[in-house]
Amino acid sequence: MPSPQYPSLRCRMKISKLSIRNFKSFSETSVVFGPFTVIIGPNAAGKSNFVDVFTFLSDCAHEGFANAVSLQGGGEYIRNLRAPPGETTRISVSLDATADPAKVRFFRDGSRVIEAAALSGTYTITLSSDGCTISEEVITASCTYTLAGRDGQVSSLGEGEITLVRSADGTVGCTVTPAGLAPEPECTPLVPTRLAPDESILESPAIYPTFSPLVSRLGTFFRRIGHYDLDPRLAKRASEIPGMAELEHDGSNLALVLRTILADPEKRHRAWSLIRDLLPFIEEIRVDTIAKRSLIATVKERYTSGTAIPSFLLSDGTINLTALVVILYFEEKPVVIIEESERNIHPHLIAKLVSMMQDVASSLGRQVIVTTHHPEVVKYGGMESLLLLRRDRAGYSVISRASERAELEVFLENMGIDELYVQNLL
Amino acid sequence: MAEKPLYVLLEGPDDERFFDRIITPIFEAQGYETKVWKYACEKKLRTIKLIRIFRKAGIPYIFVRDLDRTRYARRRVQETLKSYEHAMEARMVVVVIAEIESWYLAGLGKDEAIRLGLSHTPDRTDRVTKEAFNALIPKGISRIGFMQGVLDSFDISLAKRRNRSFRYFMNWFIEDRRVDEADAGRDLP
Repeated sequence: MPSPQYPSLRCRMKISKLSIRNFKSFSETSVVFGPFTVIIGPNAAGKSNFVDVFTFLSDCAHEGFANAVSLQGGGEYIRNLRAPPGETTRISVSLDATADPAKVRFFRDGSRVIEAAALSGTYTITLSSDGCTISEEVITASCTYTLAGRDGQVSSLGEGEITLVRSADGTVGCTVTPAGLAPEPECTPLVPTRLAPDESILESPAIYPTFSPLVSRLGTFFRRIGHYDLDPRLAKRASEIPGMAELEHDGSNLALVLRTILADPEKRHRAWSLIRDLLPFIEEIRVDTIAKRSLIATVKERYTSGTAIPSFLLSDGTINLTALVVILYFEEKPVVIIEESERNIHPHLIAKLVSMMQDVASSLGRQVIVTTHHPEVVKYGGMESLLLLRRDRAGYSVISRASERAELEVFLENMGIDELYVQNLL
Repeated sequence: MAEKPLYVLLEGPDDERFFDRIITPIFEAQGYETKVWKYACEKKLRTIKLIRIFRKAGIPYIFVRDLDRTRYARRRVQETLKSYEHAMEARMVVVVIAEIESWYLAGLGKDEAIRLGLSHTPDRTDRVTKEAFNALIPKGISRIGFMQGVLDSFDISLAKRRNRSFRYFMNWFIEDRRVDEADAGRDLP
């Protein structure tokens, strides 16, 4: 068997914390993230609204702020419907870049080259009270500074912060601490341009050239967040040959993505091993071309004596599990968000599926966030990974972490967390 | 011939992967349909009730448990019996020494180990723990992908030489067909 090669992530940042105010059903809340998170809660508790925060940020970086707002249904649906008039909506994401710091180099005192390595940072966007324009964006990067010598030697200059602030009028300013390490000539944009009211700094990283690598890195990270809500009916269909190389949100181009994976012998072997781990009766997966225009996946099962079954005749569970293996092991995403990943899957397989999610989070360094209604996901996900969402009396969505709720301990002595969840006792 | 059910009680998905690929096909060839109950995430009482049902109905079962921090397998069996209110028979308890990962590694040949990126493999795997196994996996490689790679080329004869608890399991339950005797309700020596 060839040695397995997993795609190296282009940026290995992680989300360490999320704070939101007046976003959709949330009033004000903060959540600390680990490598694997299972979001649970009753219907209409706000699970999808919570996940929408990441979609919104990804859309901001990918499609631009104005489109991101439009894709959420407009400014009035982004902000909390009960928020007092004049109150703004804010999203703040803290990122950990220790594994792969973002680096920028600039001149100081004419010829000294200083390198700043950002180990962590925060991006905050505040939307105006109508939700349609940006009041403020702040990027703060906690850095270690080193002096890069001509002979290639480096010496430490200590720690500090680089802060970029975009104001409501579209101007972008910068502060470097300690001030003695700020770039020279002065830390100002080369071109005194202003961003449009509905234009994010993520769309125009070069507005502040010296620190554009930091902004670009942030934008790339948000763009590469993978958010999936699989629809097996679409994933079963034939895919048009011209199409996205990455799996679509609903899995509709699964055949196209599988073709690329299966064309590489190492990836083919690895995909088959992982799919067989969940579906041991599958003997072969192939992708065939139909009339030179479309692709369709076919599967040979142990029970069908060598006959290949086209994907539109496969079970929804087989299609979903195949797509999940692709998402978890073959899509190059730093953060993978999967909505109700357990759909159409037999409960007995959930333990293996959850163990794959945990494997991807721990071995491959991807953050995995799933929403679920399934008690088996709750049981195998474990207390530490569980985020509970519910509505408070006023109707706002609130979040708590199961492992931090001491009152649950007495129940857990005699009952499983899954039983508490099923009875809505969490 | 109709397949007889055989219930295998395992700790979690890592044990299940090993049994699915290596052990289940052997039991299938002996006429058993293996069904797995993963007990680590279940409340103990549910597992106790299940084993009592097996015994009442004369359904064969095997309870597989890691040695963990216990020093001797026999002591671990006693601990297990006590912990599960003596629901099961001692002869149906298999203690994996040290953890299921040691069984995976036991069947990995030298050439396959090199192909998987391992610089060395221990001659005997009785002391291999989960942590030691994880430390062997090359960085950036999926643990499950690595385990599947090991199982792709798993050599049962080699594994029996390199891990005594695996040898015991294979001799007792597979070659001596002790499950058949349990199935028939006979008392074992």
